[in-house]
Amino acid sequence: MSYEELPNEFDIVLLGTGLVTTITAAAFSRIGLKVLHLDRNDFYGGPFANFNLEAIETWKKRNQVMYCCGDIIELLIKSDVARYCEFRTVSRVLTLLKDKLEPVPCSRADVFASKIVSLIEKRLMMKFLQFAADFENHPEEYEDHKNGTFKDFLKSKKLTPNLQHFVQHAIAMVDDSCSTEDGLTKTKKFLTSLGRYGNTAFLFPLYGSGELSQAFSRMSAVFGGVYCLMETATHILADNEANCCGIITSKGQKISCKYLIAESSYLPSNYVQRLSQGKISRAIFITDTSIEPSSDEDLTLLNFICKEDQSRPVTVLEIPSSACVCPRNLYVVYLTRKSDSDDPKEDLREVQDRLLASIDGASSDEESRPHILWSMYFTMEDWSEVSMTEEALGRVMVSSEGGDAGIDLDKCVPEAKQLFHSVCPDEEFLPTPPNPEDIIHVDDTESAVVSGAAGDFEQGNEDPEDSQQTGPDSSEVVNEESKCEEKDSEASNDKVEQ
Amino acid sequence: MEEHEILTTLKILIIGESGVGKSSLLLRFTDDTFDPEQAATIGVDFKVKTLTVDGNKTKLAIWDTAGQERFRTLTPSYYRGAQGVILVYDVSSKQSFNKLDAWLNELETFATKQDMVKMLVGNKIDRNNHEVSKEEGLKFARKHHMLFIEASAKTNDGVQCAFEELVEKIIQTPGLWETSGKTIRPGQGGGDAYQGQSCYCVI
Repeated sequence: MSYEELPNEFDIVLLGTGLVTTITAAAFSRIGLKVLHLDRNDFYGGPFANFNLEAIETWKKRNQVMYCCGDIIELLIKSDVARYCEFRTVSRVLTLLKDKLEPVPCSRADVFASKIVSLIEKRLMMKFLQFAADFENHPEEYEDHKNGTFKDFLKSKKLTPNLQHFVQHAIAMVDDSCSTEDGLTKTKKFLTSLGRYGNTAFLFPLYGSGELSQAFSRMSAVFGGVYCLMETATHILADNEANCCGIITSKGQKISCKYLIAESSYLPSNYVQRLSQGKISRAIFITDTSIEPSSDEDLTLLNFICKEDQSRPVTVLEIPSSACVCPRNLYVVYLTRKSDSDDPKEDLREVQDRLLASIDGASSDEESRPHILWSMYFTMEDWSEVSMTEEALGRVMVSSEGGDAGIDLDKCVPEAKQLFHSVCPDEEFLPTPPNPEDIIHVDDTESAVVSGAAGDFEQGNEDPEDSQQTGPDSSEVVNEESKCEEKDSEASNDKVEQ
Repeated sequence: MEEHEILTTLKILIIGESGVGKSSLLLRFTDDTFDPEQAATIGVDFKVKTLTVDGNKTKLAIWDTAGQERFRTLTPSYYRGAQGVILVYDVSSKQSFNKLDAWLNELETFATKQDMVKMLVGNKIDRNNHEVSKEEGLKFARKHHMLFIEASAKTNDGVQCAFEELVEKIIQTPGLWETSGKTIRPGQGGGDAYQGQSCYCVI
C-alpha cells in the first residue's frame, strides 16, 4: 500500500499509543503544538488494546473500570473527549461473604434493604460511611491510626467482621497493608462516585477500555496530530548538548523534534528504570452464564479475597454482551492479580475453582456455574511506574504503559499531566475545546488554529510562535539538524516486537 | 408523533482517500459553503444537521476523518455505532477509485452494525478530466450493495441528494436506527441528570 511520506518537523514525537501517551498527545495538539504519534503495532492502545478473538491470541487484552467521579471521567468531560465514546455502568459490585456471593449495598436504600446485615449493623454502617464521606473534616476520628493500617482502624471503629469486610474489600477495595488515610480516601472516592450515573460507583467503556486511547488520539488528530501505525523510531538523534533533536523512523525517514516521549518498551533499556515491582497474573475467559445470574444483564465487579494469601486479592470483572465485547448471551470474565510467580493458572486457581465450573465433569453444586468456553492465561510485568536514568539524552521522557493490578484507570491522568507540564509548564492541560462544529483546521502554513494558545517551551530560548508555524524557524531547525550526530539506540531494535 | 419532534439521531461517516473532497462535501451539505482553495484538511471533527426525510425529522451527526486516513490510521472507534457511511472517490482520479476495496474492507472489519447503509459518491464531476466513468461507479456500487450518486461539492450537484437518499434508506431499514440499551455519555446531560439520586450520604 502506498503511504504518503510523513512531514519532517514536529514539536513532539510520541511512541506508543497507550492511554497515558495518547492523553499527553492530545494535550499537546490541543494547544497547537505539532505532534507526531507512532505505534509499532497495527492497532491502537498497546497493553490497553481490545481485540477480537483471532487477534487476542497474539496479544493481551486489558480492561479496567473508572470511578464515576474519578480523574479520568473528569478529564473526559472537561476535554470533551467523552463525546468519542460511550459507557455502561458497572451495575453491581459483588463480594464473597461467608462463601456466598453477595451484592454490595450501593446506596442508603440498599443498605437498609440488605438482608445480609443486621439492623444494628445497618446503623453502624451508615454512621461510618457518613464519616468517611467527610473524613478530612474529622481528623480526631482517625488521628490515632494515622500511621496504622486501614484494617486496624476499621476494627477500632467497632465495626462487626461483616462490616469490616464490606468496607475494606468491597467499597475501598484495598489490601491489608493499606494505610488508614489511603483507605479512607478510597472509601470516599467510592461514595462520591455513587449516584452520579445512577446507583453505581463505576463506569466501563462500551467496547472495552482500549476505546479511551482511541478517543484521545482522535482529539489529538482533530487538532492536527499526525498518527501513523506500524511505524516506530529506530534511532534517536542528539544535538551537541546531548539533547534529543529528532528520530529516524523504521522507514528510514529523518524527523526533527524538540521532545521525544516514549513508552518504556520503545526506549533503549539503559534509558529506563522500572520503579514498580513484580508481575501481574491475568486470565480471560469467555463463559456461557453469569457467576451470579440475575434478571438484568449485569456488568459485575468483584474483589475476590483468596484464602491462601489475603494480601493479594483478585479483581474479577464480568462483562455481558451488552457492553459490546462479546457475542450475545455470553460473558467475558477478566481476572487480575498481583503476583510474583510465572504461573498465572496456578495463581488464579482458587478464584476459578470457586466461581466457575470445572472443566472435567462438574460435581452437583457446580451445575449452575458458568462453563468456560475459551480461556487464556498470561503474566505481565508491572511497568506502571518508570523513570528515566542518567544515561538518557535530554528532552526524552518516558510514559508508562500501564499494566498495574489496580481496578481503575485514574492513575493515568496525573502522569499525563506531569509529562505535559514538564514541557509546557504554563499551559492549561486539555482545556475544553470550542464547539465541535467550529473546529476546522487547515494545513500548516495556512495559519488558522482555532484555539489561541501556542506552546511556550520551558527553555524559553525559542520564540513562542516558532512552535506553531513551520515557516519562520525552519532555517534554524536545519542548522540544528546539521549538528546532529546519529546516536544508535542499541536497544530499540531488539525491543521491537516481531 | 408530532412533526417537530426528532425521530432519531444518526451517526454518518465520510470515508475515502485523502484529497477526494470529503470535507468539502460535508461543509457543502451542512453549511452550504465551498472553498476552492481549501488545503488538505487536518481535522474537521463532526457536524450536526437536522434533515427531514419523508416527514421524519432526523438529526445527523456527520463525522469527518480528522485527517487520520492520510496514514491509514483511522481508529476502530471511529466506525462504531454508525448507521450510514458515505464512501467518496474522485472521478478524476482512478487511483482513488482503486482504493475503494480497501475502504470497504476496513468498514467490514470495524463497523458494528451489520446492515449499515452505504452510499458511494463520485465527487468532482465538475472537472473535465474524468478517469472514472459513471458506469464504472455504478457497477462497483451494485456489486457491493451500495447506493450511488455522482456529485460535485463545488457546484453543489448531487450533494443534498446523497445525504437524503442515505438517510431515507436508513430509516427504511428496521432495527438499524431505533435507540436501544442504556449507555452513558458523560458530560452530555444524560448521566449528570442522575445527580441527587439516592446515595449513601444523603440522610
